[in-house]
Amino acid sequence: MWRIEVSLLSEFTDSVGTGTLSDIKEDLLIKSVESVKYVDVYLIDANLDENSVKEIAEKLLIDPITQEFKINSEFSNGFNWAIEVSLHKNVTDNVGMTAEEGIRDILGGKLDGGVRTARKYLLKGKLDEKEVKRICTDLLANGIIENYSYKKLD
Amino acid sequence: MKPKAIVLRTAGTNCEYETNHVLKMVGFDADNVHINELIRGDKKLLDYQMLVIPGGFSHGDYLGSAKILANKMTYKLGNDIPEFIEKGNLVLGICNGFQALVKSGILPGFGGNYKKQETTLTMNDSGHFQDEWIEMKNVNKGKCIFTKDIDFIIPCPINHGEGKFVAPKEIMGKLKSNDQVVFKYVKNPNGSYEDIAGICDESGRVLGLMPHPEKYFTHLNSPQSTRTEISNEAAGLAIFRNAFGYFK
Repeated sequence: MWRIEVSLLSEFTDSVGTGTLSDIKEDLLIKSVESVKYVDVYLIDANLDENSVKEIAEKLLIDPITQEFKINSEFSNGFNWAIEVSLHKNVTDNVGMTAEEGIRDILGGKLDGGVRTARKYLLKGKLDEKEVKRICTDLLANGIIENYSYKKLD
Repeated sequence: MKPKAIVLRTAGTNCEYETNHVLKMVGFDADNVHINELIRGDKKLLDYQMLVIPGGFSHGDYLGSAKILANKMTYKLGNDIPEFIEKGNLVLGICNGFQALVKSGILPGFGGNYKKQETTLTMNDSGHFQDEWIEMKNVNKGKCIFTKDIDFIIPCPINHGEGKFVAPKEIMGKLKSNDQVVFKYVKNPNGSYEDIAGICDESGRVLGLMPHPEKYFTHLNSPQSTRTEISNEAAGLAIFRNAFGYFK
């Protein structure tokens, strides 16, 4: 399994992160959160070598002008909590399916495996676990179709 | 004989019919063609004189707007579009079509290299989809064939979430010194660098823009229609008339 994380370069406005921050403060009234960074996560379960995965990340998953990526490592520096939201396994992942088509276009053939995706939110601030869980259940995840997980970062 | 235009569609394209209509209004013979028809070889790009990539949300805009379409143009059509341009034909990308041209590297196409991405269109500063009427002005000094004699403001809609034009500083300088900046917003709606709404390649025969001139071909399209003079010739048509004029 390959895990690719995609994030905006720091010089560009993270509109999703900024919007999420505003929703947490204004709708959930959790004022202790200071900033939010948004990260796209792609989980490729296929028999690919590292060079192919790098090629997929560079040519398909990022916009080279505004984004950067990490393979099998995580964006987390400077943040206190990480929340990850993904679709239940039995729910169709349209973004993942589109990524599979894109990979086939680049590699010129069949893809032996599949792609699932997740949304990751990095939170900075003195939040307790109860508040983080509330952010997951009341804002970021739709429990009918999505799972969430969170972890405290060192 | 009428010049032939190909309106290239794919999954998620949704502006092909009005684009086709406008092309026929100004004199083109226009076909809506799925990209798979080109990939399979059922249709040939070189049977046409103008390629138009219309607006929409190709492949759901997943993985970034028009990214999958751009990659299909690069990896599945190979050298077809660069060859089409080099033979003196015209290319117009509107909204999602502009995003595809930019992400495939066809625009800005510095030095005739149509495969290197130098600029991008990213999320609006507002962080959401915007659907509104804007005004754009032609700032091109003569390179772009699509904007010949356009010395008036063109009002038309924008319908995009990722329309903010972004380029590194040296690329912005090159675009300006090469006269490749074509349209600027009168009032910037999305945070585009230097208010840029559209650019062309070095030949002036490839134009991409985020606003939708094809959606303003009669006064009835305008939200101001009851306050303006009745006319079947709205400002958006001028770009298409110039394209037709190129083949006269």
